[in-house]
Amino acid sequence: MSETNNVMLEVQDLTIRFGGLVAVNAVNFQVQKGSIFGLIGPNGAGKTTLFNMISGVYKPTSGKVLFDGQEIQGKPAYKVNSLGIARTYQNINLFKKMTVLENVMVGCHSRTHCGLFASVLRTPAQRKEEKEVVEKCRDILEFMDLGDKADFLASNLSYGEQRRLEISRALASDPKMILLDEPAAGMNGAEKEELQRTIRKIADKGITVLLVEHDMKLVMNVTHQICVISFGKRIGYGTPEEIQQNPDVIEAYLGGGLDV
Amino acid sequence: MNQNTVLTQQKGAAFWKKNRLSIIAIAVLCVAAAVMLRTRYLAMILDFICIYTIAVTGLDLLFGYTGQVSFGQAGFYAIGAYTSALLSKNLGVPPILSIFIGALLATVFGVIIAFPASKLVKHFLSLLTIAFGLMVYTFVNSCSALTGGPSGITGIPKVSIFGLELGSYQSYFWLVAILMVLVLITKKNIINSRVGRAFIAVRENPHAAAGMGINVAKYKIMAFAISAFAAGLAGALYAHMIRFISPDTFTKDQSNMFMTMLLFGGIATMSGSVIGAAAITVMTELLQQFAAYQTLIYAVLILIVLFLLPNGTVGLFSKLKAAVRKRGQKRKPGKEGTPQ
Ligand SMILES: Nc1ncnc2c1ncn2[C@@H]1O[C@H](COP(=O)(O)OP(=O)(O)OP(=O)(O)O)[C@@H](O)[C@H]1O
Ligand SMILES: [Mg+2]
Repeated sequence: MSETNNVMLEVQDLTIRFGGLVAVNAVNFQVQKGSIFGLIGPNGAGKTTLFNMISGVYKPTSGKVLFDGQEIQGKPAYKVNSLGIARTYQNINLFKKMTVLENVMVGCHSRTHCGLFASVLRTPAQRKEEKEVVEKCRDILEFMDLGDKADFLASNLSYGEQRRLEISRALASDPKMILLDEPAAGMNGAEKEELQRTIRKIADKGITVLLVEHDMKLVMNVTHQICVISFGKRIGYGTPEEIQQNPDVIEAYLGGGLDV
Repeated sequence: MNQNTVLTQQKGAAFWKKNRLSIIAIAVLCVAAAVMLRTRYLAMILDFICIYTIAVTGLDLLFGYTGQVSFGQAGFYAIGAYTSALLSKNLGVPPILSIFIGALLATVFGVIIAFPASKLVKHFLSLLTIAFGLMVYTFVNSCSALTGGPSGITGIPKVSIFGLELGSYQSYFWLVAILMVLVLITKKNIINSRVGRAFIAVRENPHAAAGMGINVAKYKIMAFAISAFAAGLAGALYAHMIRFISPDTFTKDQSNMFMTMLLFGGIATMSGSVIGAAAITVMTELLQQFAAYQTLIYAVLILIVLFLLPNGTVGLFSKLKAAVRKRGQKRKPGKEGTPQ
């Protein structure tokens, strides 16, 4: 029991089928609270599909997802978010016609309460909440180094900035755990360095990080534990050092992808 | 003290600078309204503009902000009109009350429609809303015992407030104008709130909206309910203005007119629904002798909008404004990016 208390996320025999394809096949892993956990594997391995099951986009065919001791598999995405899981997307999914600040403000949705009538009447409570939301979101944008872009349209940001905005928006929902799906994709070297620091800073805030990333240098540098999947199956599980020695993993990457 | 006055003056100047176009526009509109109110016919047109603006504003929250298309707004418009007409005429409910009961009943239907609608997108949603409008039309046309069938309802009571009877188009203007302003303020407050951000998020990316904790179906239903309330309110106000209703008013042409007004004025803007309602109302009046071609005219207008003015008339104005600004700023170098 005392062990489970340190586990933020536990995935048990998680499986999903799309027609004949078993995209994720009986995968198990545990993510410790406050840790940075890497999920890697070749293209099409099933990483994003795993994220989609954890975050409530897909309902698994079988298996369990335990978040902070509670079963969450099959819950709708908006409920999963309010329980404390926020995510970013591999194919950037920003609200393009909203400003950078507004995007982050949407992220506060599950932590705020004012409904239709409070908004129409602009009650004092509603105005106070709005003010707090703006302040909180500006702080997050400063933290993510986007402070001076607050009034830009999201679609006018550079690729790297859009990825940082996705993280900002996710942070706005005060998550206990954040899922980052290839946050370094499309970033240049300097941006990747900065991202590495940011991921550490997020973990320092006590937020558990689950990271899907193809950049092996980044993954090996920043994670505490790694799970490797290939064709939907787990083929390796351990610390970055262990993973780099694992013959199955080296084989799956054909010796090419694991150069650190 | 002195400093305070200076500060207030500065604030005032800043406010003026930021909003001068809106202020000038509102002032011009007030003068125009005052002139028009002197003629009965022109007052009637003003009343129509206010009533249509209310309905179009609701449609904008649904379509412009939440991305849910509806070609069945005439159904809600009819429910508001018939409910208020019947309650006030047959049961003696004061019109000022029955108008709101009509709007609320339309809202109930909005919620009922929204449950299946929230699961549909694009053309399926269009079909569902067209079917809804058609169902309401068929009902009022054939259920003669209740609605008077094709011959409609005559002698709908006049609205009176505190014993003051709003019998003329001129006096009715004050009622519809005040309600229109309230509806516009409501819209402004909604779009600048958590609810409005949820609407826009649902429109922009329902997937990501759900990921950020937004119950997408709930907000789609809410938007439907709001648009139904506005259309129902407008319909009830129409009934007590003309004091005669018949199914002819509530055909799909009416739904198409609301959509044309919205697209022509510009979706997802504050002034778009007013401009669209005013322009199309005036245009329809001017082209009275081509009434048979009304649908054709709307279709042409929509095509013009789609191909030439994707952001409606409002978009054209802001483009002009931006162009004028750009000329003014040409000498200032170093302006990077495009904020806003
Ligand atoms: N909704 C779906 N319907 C059918 N097949 C799907 C669906 N989603 C994912 N798949 C399939 O599941 C497999 C795993 O895809 P997934 O996107 O999870 O891979 P990934 O590990 O994230 O790959 P990448 O590194 O390229 O992002 C792929 O074969 C994909 O085609
Ligand atoms: Mg992926």
